[in-house]
Amino acid sequence: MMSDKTPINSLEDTVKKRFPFSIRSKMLIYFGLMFLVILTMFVLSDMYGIPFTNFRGSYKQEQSKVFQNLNLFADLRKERLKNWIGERRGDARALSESTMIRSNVASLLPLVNGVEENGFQTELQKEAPYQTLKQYLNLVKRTYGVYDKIQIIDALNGTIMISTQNQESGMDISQNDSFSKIIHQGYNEVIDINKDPSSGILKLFIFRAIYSYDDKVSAVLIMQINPDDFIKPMLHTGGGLGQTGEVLFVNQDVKLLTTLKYPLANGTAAIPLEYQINSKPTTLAARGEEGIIATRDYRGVEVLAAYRHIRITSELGWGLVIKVNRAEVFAPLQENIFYRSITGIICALLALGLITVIAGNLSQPLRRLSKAAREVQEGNLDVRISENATDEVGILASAFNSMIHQVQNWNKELKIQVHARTAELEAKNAELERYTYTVSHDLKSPLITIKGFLSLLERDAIKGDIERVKKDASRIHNAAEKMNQLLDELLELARIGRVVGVSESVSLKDLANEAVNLIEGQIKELGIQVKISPDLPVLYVDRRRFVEVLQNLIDNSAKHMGKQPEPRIEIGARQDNEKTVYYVRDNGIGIEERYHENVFGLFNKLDHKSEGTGIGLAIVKRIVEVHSGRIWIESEGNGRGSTFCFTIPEKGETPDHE
Amino acid sequence: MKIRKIISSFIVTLLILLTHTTFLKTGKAEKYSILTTPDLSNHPVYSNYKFNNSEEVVNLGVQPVYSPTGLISETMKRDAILHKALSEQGVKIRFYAFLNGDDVNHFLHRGDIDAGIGGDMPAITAAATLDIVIPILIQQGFTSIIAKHPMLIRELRGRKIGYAFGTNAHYALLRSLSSDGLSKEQVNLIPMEVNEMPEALQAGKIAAFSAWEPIPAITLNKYPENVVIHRCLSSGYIYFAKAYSDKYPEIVRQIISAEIRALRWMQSNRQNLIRASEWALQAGGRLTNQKLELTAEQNASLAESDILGLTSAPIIPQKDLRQNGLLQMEFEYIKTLGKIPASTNWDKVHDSFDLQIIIEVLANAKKYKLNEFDYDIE
Amino acid sequence: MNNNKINGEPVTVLLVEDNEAHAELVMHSFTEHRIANKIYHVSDGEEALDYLYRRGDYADQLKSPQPHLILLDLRLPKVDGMEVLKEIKSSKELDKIPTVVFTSSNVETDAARAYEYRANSYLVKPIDHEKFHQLLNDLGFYWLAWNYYPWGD
Repeated sequence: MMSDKTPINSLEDTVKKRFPFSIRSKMLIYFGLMFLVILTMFVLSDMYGIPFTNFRGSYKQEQSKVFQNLNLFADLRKERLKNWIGERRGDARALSESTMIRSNVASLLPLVNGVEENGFQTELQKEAPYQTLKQYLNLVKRTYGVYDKIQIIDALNGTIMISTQNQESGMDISQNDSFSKIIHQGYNEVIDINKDPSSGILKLFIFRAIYSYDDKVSAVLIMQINPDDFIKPMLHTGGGLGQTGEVLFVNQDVKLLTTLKYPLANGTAAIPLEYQINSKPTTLAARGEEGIIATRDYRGVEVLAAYRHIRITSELGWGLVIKVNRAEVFAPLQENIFYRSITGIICALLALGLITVIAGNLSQPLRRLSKAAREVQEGNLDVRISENATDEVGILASAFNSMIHQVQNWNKELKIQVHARTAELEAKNAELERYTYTVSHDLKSPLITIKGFLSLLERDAIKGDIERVKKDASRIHNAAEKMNQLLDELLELARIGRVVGVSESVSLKDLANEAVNLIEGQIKELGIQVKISPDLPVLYVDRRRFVEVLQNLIDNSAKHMGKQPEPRIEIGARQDNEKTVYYVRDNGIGIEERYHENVFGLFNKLDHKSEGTGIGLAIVKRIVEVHSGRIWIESEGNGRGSTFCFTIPEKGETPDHE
Repeated sequence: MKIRKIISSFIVTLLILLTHTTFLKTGKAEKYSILTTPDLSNHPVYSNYKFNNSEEVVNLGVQPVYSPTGLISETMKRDAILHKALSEQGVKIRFYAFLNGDDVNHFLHRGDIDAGIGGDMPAITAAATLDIVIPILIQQGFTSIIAKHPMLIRELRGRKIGYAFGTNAHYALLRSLSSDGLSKEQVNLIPMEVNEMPEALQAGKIAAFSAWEPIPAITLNKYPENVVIHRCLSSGYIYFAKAYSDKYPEIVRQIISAEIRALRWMQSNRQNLIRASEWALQAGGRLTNQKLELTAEQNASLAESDILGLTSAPIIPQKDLRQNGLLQMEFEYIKTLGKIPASTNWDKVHDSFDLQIIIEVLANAKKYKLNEFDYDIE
Repeated sequence: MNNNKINGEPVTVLLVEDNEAHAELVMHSFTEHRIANKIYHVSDGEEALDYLYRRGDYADQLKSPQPHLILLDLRLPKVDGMEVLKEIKSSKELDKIPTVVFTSSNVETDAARAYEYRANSYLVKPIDHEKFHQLLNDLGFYWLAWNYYPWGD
């Protein structure tokens, strides 16, 4: 059917060029893409949050946790420091306001005035208030343990009246700024940090005014604290600040109050109160701001720093910076992202793998179908595909199968029909040829005779030979008659081929009887005995035609009895391999095997002398074949008689011939 | 054709209206200067004030919703010693409550009040544009920026931030932004009253706001999931119209004594502090017409973290007045806002601060009864 | 013409024709034209072969002399004309005898086959008698007068 494949091939090639994707790859791409997009959206939204909503994503949440942690740490440190300072200030205040101190100072002051500097030690020591105060201060110092030194200064001339450190009494500190502030500017409290010139150690001082009973500054209390006592523990960064954590203290001028964990860029160590550490967090903290910032520290390393400002007095504030290396603090976040991404990728790969398998699975029936269709294209109609799938594809498969099956059947049927038609056509063509042949040959023949004897007749008439004239005329007459007969029988033959009457079920016996009746005369004349078998089967045929068949057969047998003394014709039926064979048997001259085919031919006469046009058997054959039956001769010739056999298919059967 | 014309002209009108309203909004916030005062005559609260400008009355503008000055001013209100000292001068003192220092300055400028309490920004503004005397420190603490989650300042880029224009918190906000490299153009500043800020944050109308205490404390109270993401040190002062101060130096001293006294009274006994805290909350509630969601204890703690915990001799730190010190930097910044004429000299502001007054008072503690207390506790 | 003798033999023609009338016409023409001495007429293919092979009824050589010309009709009973032709021309004995097909059929395939079987000539019987008569005259003259036979008997 599809012999010309060129257009289809080029279409396929076009399709392949423009859409080089099979269903499987399409499914893989679409579903794969879809999954990837959804997974990416999910992972991204999980990590980075959904815009316009309150969900900020795990990254931001982790980041918030980091900030919170750092803030907490910083706030705790600040709190501790404030509390500690508060306590120290409380100590100073309590001390300066205590009745004990005030009364003893009030008692001592008059004694101080007028004493020579170098007489302080020797003379004042004897005084009771002095000794009380000294003892008390020492007690305080011992009890609290954080004070290096406690001194009481005379407000009037700035000399140290009493000190927990021996040998200090009598020293003049009137030039001290903090002292001046209290005396001249009305401050009742001044706090200060400075460095001891000889040892280089930082010291914290609290100056506190001691008031007389008329609210005037009579003396100044100075309490000196070793900052190391509180700063060093403050700097401890264990427990929650990581390995790269560091705590920095600066004053309002951004000068270091503590030592640094790491050396400076030039390799030296930073010196407290000298080195101005100008990193952003320290500057901001010193300036009075508090917050969290991501920036570079004094090493140039990226850090996350929480900076705080600790207000000590209205004049004094310190900066506190808690910092951790950014890499360390955000490492968990990076890890988080990393693992999430890895998981995402693994999921994606798994999904892609699964999708590939599923796509393959789902598309396999379709691929099989498409392959089968291709094979059908190429002409193989035997291909079938499995109908196992329980979905639409299964339906498609079974539809495909039945379609192809149907096509195959149609193909076979058509082939058979074409065969049959071709055979018919060929037969008809052959017959047509035979007719033509017949016309040209067998009709011309009498014409030649007519023309010829007309000429002779003319000649004989002129001669006056009446006898010859009669003979000639007779020849002419016969020839003309022959032509007439031929024409009639040709038409008859043609008609038989075209018009077959309605078939009916009729017994062979009835047919035979009728036929015999029609040619009774001839038969009796020739003394032929006709025997019709009893119990003859029923045929489904055109009755008139078959009467004609039998008539012709009987007639033919009758004409070919030869010298048979007891001519006999039998009409009967027998079973040959489940097929009913009907026969007309005679005991005449028989027909040699080589002529068996010929006798059915048009105008073939074996014996030219015999009567008849030779068309009878042709008609018989035609009628039998029109009824889809088959006719043949069984005879050995040589006077052994002949049996004309024919079969007619049962009603509804397939044709017998060929 | 006609229809098209109508529609297009309609759209054009709409656009013009829109641009105008936005312009108006920002215009109001940005171009406002004390010298071209808006009309506060229709203010729901201030329009009810009846100022008495006679010689016998000294009018003090206070800010109850400005911790801890609210505690101090409420304590001063009940200071029998002050009233007695003033009446000996033939003067009564009246306290007028305002929502912010800008409003204080407005009425100071008009002469309706003779003195006021204001943060460093309003104080500098007033010092630059008016003639005032600033003798005493009344607040030193932190203004805060509150946001919904812990974040770096840089994450505020492009977000909306609520603030009160021309106040401490305004300046503090800009300082905070610049600490992490943001300029005011890189964020969306939304001016609003401080008492509106907590709700605006909660409703998501703003991503953060900048305010002074007790607003941050109230916010964290009401909505504990919020956090402070930045704080800035800021100060507050009592300042007097120079004319008044020159005329009535003694009254000025009495008033600042009252502040010192109030401080010391609150520092002497926690109960006093709590009481003052309650008075402040009530006064704040009356002014804003809403209950301030803060306990007296919390309000007291705020005061303790502020000036109350720092000193009992609130002398203005000289360091702040230094050349290129904090106050001068602030002064320069305010100029850029257009609130102060660009030609104004720092010296004018610098010279408005007068430290001698308080030194004199402190040196005469007995005379000014700095350590005596007599308060009218109802 | 040698008085109807070829190489001393009387001119012999074998006419193989099943149509009696036609046979009569042919013989009449030959006689009229004095073409042949002896005309032997057989009516079917089998007879023709029997004559030529001198078998059966025609065993006697004298009764069935080898003809100088065979006129052969194609449509014959028993053995078909073509068969006869084929037989003649494949037989060593007979293939030299000029065999002219004389038939009513002008079907090309018949003519082609005849030539295939080595017919010496193929003639179609004209319907018009004048022509019929003339043809036989020419035929006789050609094959029996003009044509040269190399053999004697």
